[in-house]
Amino acid sequence: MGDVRTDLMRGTLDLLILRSLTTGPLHGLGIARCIGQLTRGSFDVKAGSLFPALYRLEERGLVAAEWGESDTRRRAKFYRLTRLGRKQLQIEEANWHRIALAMTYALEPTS
Amino acid sequence: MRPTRSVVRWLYGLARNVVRGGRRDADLRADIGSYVDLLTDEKMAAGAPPEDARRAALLEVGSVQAVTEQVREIRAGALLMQIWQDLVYAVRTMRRDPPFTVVATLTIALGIGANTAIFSVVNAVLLKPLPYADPDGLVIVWERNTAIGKDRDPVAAPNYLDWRTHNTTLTEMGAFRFTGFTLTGVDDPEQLRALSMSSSAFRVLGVEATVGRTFSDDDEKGRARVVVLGHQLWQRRFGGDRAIVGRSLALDDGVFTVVGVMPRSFAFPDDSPVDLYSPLVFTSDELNGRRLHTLSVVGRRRTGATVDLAAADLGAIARRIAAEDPTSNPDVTIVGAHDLLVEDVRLGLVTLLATVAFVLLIACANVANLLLVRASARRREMAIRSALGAGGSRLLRQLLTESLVLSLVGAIAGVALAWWLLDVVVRLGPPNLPRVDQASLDVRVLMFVAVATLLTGFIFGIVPALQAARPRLVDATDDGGHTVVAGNMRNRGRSLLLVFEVALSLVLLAGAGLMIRSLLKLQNVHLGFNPAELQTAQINLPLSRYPVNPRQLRPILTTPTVDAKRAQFFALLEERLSAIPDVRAAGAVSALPFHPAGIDYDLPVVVEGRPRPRAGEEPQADFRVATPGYFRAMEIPVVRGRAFTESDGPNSPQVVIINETMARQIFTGEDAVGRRLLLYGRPREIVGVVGSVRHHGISREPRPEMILPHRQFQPGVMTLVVRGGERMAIQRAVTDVVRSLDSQVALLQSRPMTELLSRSIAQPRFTTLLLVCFAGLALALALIGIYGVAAYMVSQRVREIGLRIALGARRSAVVGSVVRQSMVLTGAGLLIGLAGAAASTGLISGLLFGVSARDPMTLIAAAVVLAMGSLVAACIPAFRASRMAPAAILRAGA
Repeated sequence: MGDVRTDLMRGTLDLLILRSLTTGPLHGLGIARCIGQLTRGSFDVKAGSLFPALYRLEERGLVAAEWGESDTRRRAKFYRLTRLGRKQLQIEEANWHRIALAMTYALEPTS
Repeated sequence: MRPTRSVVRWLYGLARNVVRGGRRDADLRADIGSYVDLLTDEKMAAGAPPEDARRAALLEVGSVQAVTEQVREIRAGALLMQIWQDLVYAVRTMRRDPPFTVVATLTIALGIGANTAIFSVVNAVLLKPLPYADPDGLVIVWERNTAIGKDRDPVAAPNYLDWRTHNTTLTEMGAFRFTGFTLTGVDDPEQLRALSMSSSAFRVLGVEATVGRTFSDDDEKGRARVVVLGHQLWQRRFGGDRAIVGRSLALDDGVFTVVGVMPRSFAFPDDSPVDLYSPLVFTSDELNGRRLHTLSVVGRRRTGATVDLAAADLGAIARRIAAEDPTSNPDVTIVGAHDLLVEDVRLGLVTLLATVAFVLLIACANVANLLLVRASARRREMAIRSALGAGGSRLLRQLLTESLVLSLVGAIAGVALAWWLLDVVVRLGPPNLPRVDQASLDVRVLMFVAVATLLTGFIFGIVPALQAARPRLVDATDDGGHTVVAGNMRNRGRSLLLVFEVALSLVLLAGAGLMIRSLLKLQNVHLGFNPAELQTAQINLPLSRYPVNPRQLRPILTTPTVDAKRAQFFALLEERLSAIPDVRAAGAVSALPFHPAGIDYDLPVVVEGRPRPRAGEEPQADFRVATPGYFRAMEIPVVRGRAFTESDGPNSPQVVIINETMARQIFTGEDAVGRRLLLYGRPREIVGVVGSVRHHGISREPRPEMILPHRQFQPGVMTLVVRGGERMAIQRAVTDVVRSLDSQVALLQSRPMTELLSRSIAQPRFTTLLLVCFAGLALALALIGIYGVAAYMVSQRVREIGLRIALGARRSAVVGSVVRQSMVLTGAGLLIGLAGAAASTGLISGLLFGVSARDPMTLIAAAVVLAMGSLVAACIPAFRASRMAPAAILRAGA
């Protein structure tokens, strides 16, 4: 995998994680499932990429985590957006729309 | 995010990771565990049986350890954490394998220790700035006359004065010359090493007196008799008393006022302490004409004026002068002061530095070999770490960290070794190796060590690390190395290292061999006299009571003067010395070979009855004065004619003796005896031809020489030579005789001729000794390397060997096959080394005397030594293998 693609993927995953947390705190599996729903099943996030991304976001202060209990009464760590995370999400969403629009124009067949 | 804020957050994260790394790891594992639980629940909810659900969940998540590793790598300060982990792991690995650690550490310690010690010397001698203000700008100026082969002629006073006035490239110029003073008015009069120095010379050097002042321009008018003391004399004779300034000193029966004391650090013009500085006052002879080359000249370059530019500037002035006065030299030589100081020793030191670098490389090769051997033992460990989620780069980093830790430990031991070694080197250091006593492990040396350590660790670590960090899982599960015939692929790295080591060692051995041969040649040079059982001492007669007229401290005279008192003193001295039973012969000469004192200069040769060459183009010959006993005392043979006798007095016919070199060059095919030379305008008959003496150094060919009898010409300084066995008795007797003649005359530099000789050979001996030691070290390391590789090959082939012996192979065949394998590699190394030696020994040709840098005998001898050594080194493991009981081997290997 080239660097560009890795970075794009990493950025995308971060964005998706932040997006999935807008509705409220979720645990790891919850985030993975939420991303699956948000992308209509296009992205199936595995633990191997989810956890590094989560901890990276936590290090950057965009998400915070605390232990709680799941619906199935399991002990689990719940992640939520911080104020900084919300701001970052706005910025990145705007960025994304700009990129997506640009890409769409770029790839449109010239008529 | 603002950058400062992100940095703060990173630091906070780092602190958290460092302080609570363990708890955060546990937290992460719990997080992943709960993920697995939740996934299991999900699968069970979808109808899977609990067992299957759990297994599927575990499979999907993968190794918890791997995920943990991945998370760790993105954490703040992850790299630092990993480095710390690697360090801890490296230390643990080293402790687990003490024999490896000890051997590797010692090898590195030897390499780095040798490098550190030699670099300290290079640092002190070549790199440290001179102890003068802005030393880079200092230059030394000579006159030059290429037509008569003179590159560095001392400077005539009028030329110095003209240069000083007219040049545009030097801010200031100063002049000085050596002179002799006897400290009198004390019980034990002492001959002092003194320098007549212009006030401008002190300004050029930019060094102030530590007490009092240096000279002013007024002092040079010659009215006030003032002196400046050297630091050493001040301490030795006056106990460092600051009140000495303004007091009077009896010198040569005259009274002088001390005006200042120079600081301890002031070493000028060389390392040997100067006792006394007196103002430079030119004599009328010096100022009359441009033929008297008496001065050493220093200058300071203007900013932007290079040495070449200054040489062109002063050269132009010299040419203008020579156009008007053909006796003046038409050009100048200018050399930077630091370049001058180190020009004789630079090549030797650089060679030594290259040698120890080679030794370090060989040490690296050995350690790399050890690591390669260990890497095959650690293949399983690497495979497991890799399977547990360590990436290739991660493994590489860890292995390199191990190498660096090893290198660091080795370097610490090496610095300790260097500390000791430096002491030895400095003590062995030849007296003419400038500033070697200042060598120490200073900051610059320690920085050198740091860089060397990093490089060393990287060099020996990178190849084994690259090889080990690419573990083949198949190999590891295959239970490694159980094939009967060892694969050659894995041995290639080791083989190349061995070839490299052998080649490097051969280059060093060849270099050391050349140095040894050169030194032997030097020691066997025919000097032209017999240095054994010869005592020497310098005598300066106080000018006030034994005047040389006109007063000359460096008596280069336009007219010979006869001073009866001087002549009488030496005649009596010779007579009384010869009467001592232990003394076989005694004499004196104006300048003794290898002796630092005395006047040594040359004069144009003018043969009576031959057309006189143009001024400035006459052949030159060294000029000396000797007493009748000199030739006998030195055992210089009289080849033709006769030696001087007591009847060669002031009123008898004027005579001269020449040496064989002069007879050959000036009187080719003629008989020189009976011909007459014009010296100072007066004819002198050649009465004898004596053997030539290597006056200017063992490695320098003798020059033409003219010798005058002392009773017809008296210079200021004479050196006494006394032939006789018992050194101390002779010295005592000589002192007694001198005192009995004049209680206020002192002997200076009294020492046996053999000591003077060994001084002059000290530098090549020093370089050779160190080179031989380091080449020996290199040889030992290379042989250890060969032994190690041979032993490893045997260990790899142990089953094959056992099988062969079991099948009836003769043991000699087994030994042969193992040895052959090593010797092929050695042979390849020797070939490359021969080529390398032939290509590189030319670089040290400047250090060699009487032996060609590509001397085939030496090269072959070095190759043979190395080949024999490696044969023995390879045979040991081979024999050991052939002694093994085949059944035991096969059982052990199975």
